[in-house]
Formats: sequence, C-alpha cells, structure tokens
Amino acid sequence: MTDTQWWYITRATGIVATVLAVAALVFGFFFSSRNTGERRRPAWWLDLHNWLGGTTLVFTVVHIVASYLDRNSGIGLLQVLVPGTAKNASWAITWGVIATYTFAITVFTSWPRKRLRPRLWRLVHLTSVVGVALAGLHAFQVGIDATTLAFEAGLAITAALAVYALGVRVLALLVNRTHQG
Amino acid sequence: MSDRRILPPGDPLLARLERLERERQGTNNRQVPTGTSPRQFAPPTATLNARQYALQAARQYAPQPAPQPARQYAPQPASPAAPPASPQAARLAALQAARQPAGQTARPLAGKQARRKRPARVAKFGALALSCATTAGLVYLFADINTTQAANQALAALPTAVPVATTGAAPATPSTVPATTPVVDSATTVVVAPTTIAAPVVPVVQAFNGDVIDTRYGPVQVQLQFTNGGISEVAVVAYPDGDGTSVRINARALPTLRNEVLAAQSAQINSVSGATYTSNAYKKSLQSAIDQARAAGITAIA
Ligand code: HEM
Ligand code: HEM
Repeated sequence: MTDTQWWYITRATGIVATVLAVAALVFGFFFSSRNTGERRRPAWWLDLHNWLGGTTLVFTVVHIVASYLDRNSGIGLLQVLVPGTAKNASWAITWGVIATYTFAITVFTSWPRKRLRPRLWRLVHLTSVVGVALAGLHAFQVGIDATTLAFEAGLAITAALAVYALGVRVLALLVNRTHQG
Repeated sequence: MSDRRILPPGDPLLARLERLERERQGTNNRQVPTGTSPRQFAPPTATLNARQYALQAARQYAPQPAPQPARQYAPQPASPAAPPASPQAARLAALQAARQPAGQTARPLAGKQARRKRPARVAKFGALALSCATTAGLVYLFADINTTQAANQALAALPTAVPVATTGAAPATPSTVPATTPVVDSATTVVVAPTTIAAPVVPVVQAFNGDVIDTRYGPVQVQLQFTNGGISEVAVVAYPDGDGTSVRINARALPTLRNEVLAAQSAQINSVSGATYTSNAYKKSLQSAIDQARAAGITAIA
C-alpha cells in the first residue's frame, strides 16, 4: 500500500467514524430520554447504541493506524498518544487525540459498567459528548475535504442531529423534573 | 425465602435471584439450598430510598393473583417478617409485584423477552455493513478524484496556443491561412508587424491552427508553431474534456503525441493506444495545419 492509499483510508475512516460517533450519541440520548420520560424505550436502541459506540472506536483506531502508516501525514506514535505534539495542524490533531481518549474511556467503562457507581459511570460516559464535538472540530480543521461543499453540508447535518438529540434529552430531563414537583 | 415463592420453578428471574445470591456469597456453588437463606438480610428502613420504599410498599399491597390451576405461581404471603435475600432481589421482586396488574398472574421476564436480549441484530449489522461500504466507496471516490486532478494538472502543463493573426478580409476560421505572415513574439504573445522586427535576431514564430476535427467524444484541434521554419511546438486548442475518463485518457495521450510530433517534425506519428479517437483526430488536424504552413511558404517540413 502506498502513502496515498493510506491517506485515502485515513480520510474515509475519519468521516465514517465521525458519522458513527454522532449516531451513537443520538441513540444514547434518545434512549436515556425515554428512560426519564414515560414512553417505552425499545431495548434495541440501547443495544444499537452500544454497538455503534464500539464500532466508532474501531473505525477511529483504523483511522489513526492509517494516518500513522501514511508517511506524509506527520503522525507518529507520539503524536497519536500525546496531545499537542503534532507539528502540522497541532490544535486540530490535539482535538482528535482527546476525542479518541474519550471514546476509548467511554467504551471500556461500559463493559464493566455494573462495577462502577451509576453517577460516576454516567459522568465518565458523558465525556464522550465532548469527544464527539472535538472530533467534529478536528474533522473541520484538518480535513482536506473540509473545503468541499458536500463535506461541510454533511458535517452541518450531523451536528444538527446531535444538537437535536441533546435537545430531546434536556427537554425530557426538564419535563421529568417538573412532573416530579 | 419469600421472593422465591412468588416465582415458578425454572423461572429466569429465579435463576437471576439465585445468581445474585451466589455472587453475594462469593461462591459458584449452583446448589443453593432452597428454603434456607444462607445470609438473612434485613435492610434498615433508613437506607431505603423513596423509590425502593414505594416499590416495597407496592409489593406488599399489590392485589394477590387469583389461584389458577395451570402455570400458577405460589401465592405470596405478604409477610413483612420474611425479608428478601438482598436489596437487588428485593427490588426485582418488588418491581415484579408492582407491575402486576390486578387479577393477573405475575409476568416474569420469560420467553421471547428474555431471549431477545440482543434485539438490534439487523440494525447493528446493517450499520456495520453500511460503514464498511461507505469507507470503501469513499476510498474509491478519493482515488478517482485524485487521478482526475493529476490528469487536469498534466493537461494544464501542456503548451498553450498563441493567437493567430488573420487579415480582416479572411474569415476567422482556424483553417484560414494567414494572408500576411503572422509574427508572434513567443514570450509575450504580442502580435507585431513583421517589418518592425530585425528578422535574423528575434526568432519568428508562425502559428497555424489546424482544422477542428470532431470525434464522438468532442472536437480536437491542434496549433502548430514554427520557429525559423521548423516545428517548434504543437499546442492543443481543443480536446475532449467533458468527462473524467476523457480527461484521464487525453492527459496521457496528448503529451505523447506532442513529443512524437516534435521528434518527427511531421504528421507521420503513431497513435497512442487506448486513445485512438483523439490520436486520429489529432493527426488530421495536424496535417491540415502543415498544409497551411506549406501554403504559407514554409517548406522545411518532412
Ligand atoms: C463513542 C461512543 C459512545 C458515545 C458517544 C456514547 C454516548 C452516550 C450518550 C450521550 C448517552 C446518554 C447519556 C445520558 O443522557 O445520560 C449514552 C447512554 C448510554 N450508553 Fe453510551 N456512548 C458510547 C458508547 C457506549 C458503549 C460502547 C456502551 C456499552 C457497551 C454504552 C452504553 C450506554 C448505556 C447503557 C447508556 C444508557 C444510560 C442510561 O440512560 O441509563 N455507550 N451514551
Ligand atoms: C489520535 C487521534 C487522531 C489522529 C492522529 C488523527 C489524524 C488525522 C489526520 C492526520 C487527518 C488528516 C488527513 C488529511 O491529510 O486529509 C485527519 C482527518 C480527519 N479525522 Fe482524524 N485523527 C484522530 C482522531 C480522529 C477522530 C477521533 C475522529 C472522529 C471520530 C477523526 C475524524 C477525522 C475526519 C472526519 C477527518 C477528515 C478527513 C477528510 O479530510 O476527508 N479523527 N485525522
């Protein structure tokens, strides 16, 4: 495989990982919203959410490995692991690194979830929301395709979806509070 | 144990309760003696939160199921004196009882519900397949865009045509032989009158546009430039560039054809394989330009 081919894979998996992360976030919020509200929450939402979360991490890892193997990207082991060490687009890569950490923490605390206190688990889990936002920023800043209209339109649509899901969640929280008095 | 008595033997909930109990004991022993609770657990009322309290209350005051002969659950003695095995077990049992509508038997997590623990199989594998397909599609798209961009760059690097001067009387068709000798300064492409130039000092470029030759993919037209009577450059005025495939084919073919013309100094050149239409039209247009040059008095052409 040539550098150029790894570069294509970096870009493709980056885009897919972003979409998956937003999908996981949306299903997470939807599921939790039903939890607080009175409507039935289909079990498959949570199941799909967990799966999407895991798949997000897998695609992110492929994205990082591909950017590492592309010798023109300037991404080495240090740049992958330590925020702020990338020479080009330092901030943009930093967002990606932090996003990756939040995804990893979220996924790996979700399997042994029962061992954690619920509040702590949720706090840790919700860092992934910040992660999704940072991943979006990373994509926007570093993406070679970020200048194309299709990419920007797609990013705007996924951002809108995420904000909508967040809105549903917050609304459910507020409604629930009011009902409880 | 009171929790067990509301459940039929073999009930999944019962298995779950027993597992919880074993976990609490830290044993893996599957033979938990029934009827005796190894560790009696009495939750202090103070530690019950509102929800647990409500659930326990609901459990105690829920209407009892009417006894039924088949698939009947043992009637639950609403005895507050017999505490559940663990808080989790208490919650489960209480939930079970609280959910149970009046006059109906308890409906444990059984059958279809229990089996459908992982219900989103289609959506999950659909999402995975879609993700992989999208990745592959994007990689293909990026590669395609990149090749097209490279081709466009190669085409942009080709020499450009220079303006061809024509007399006012002659129609401005590409095949028209310039009536007065067009003299073009090759560096600035400013047309100057031939008389103003000291002929031997400045290289004189004479340009002739060949005929426009139509192919099924678009028109082809070349421009021959002569410097001091020899073919010094061949530019392409028009070539099929309406689609990515044409762009890529011509990005490969046109530089090859140009090199051949410069080497052969004639229209006796080979076609580029895979670019037959362009090659043939190119040769025809080239030949017409050479004919014009001959008519204009340039003779040193093979
Ligand atoms: C990138 C990965 C992930 C993201 C972005 C994500 C995001 C979220 C969000 C935003 C919520 C809503 C939380 C709330 O509103 O309180 C949620 C809930 C949840 N997530 Fe995730 N999640 C991810 C991965 C996972 C994984 C891998 C699992 C399990 C294997 C998981 C299990 C859960 C569960 C069980 C809930 C429901 C919490 C509740 O309401 O009780 N998540 N997730
Ligand atoms: C250690 C973490 C990460 C590193 C080192 C990294 C590295 C890179 C690099 C070098 C590029 C630029 C590719 C180019 O030259 O165009 C890129 C683009 C991108 N990355 Fe990341 N990334 C990381 C994490 C993430 C995460 C977590 C996501 C989202 C879930 C993500 C999504 C994207 C997207 C969408 C692009 C734009 C692709 C395009 O231009 O088409 N990245 N990343």
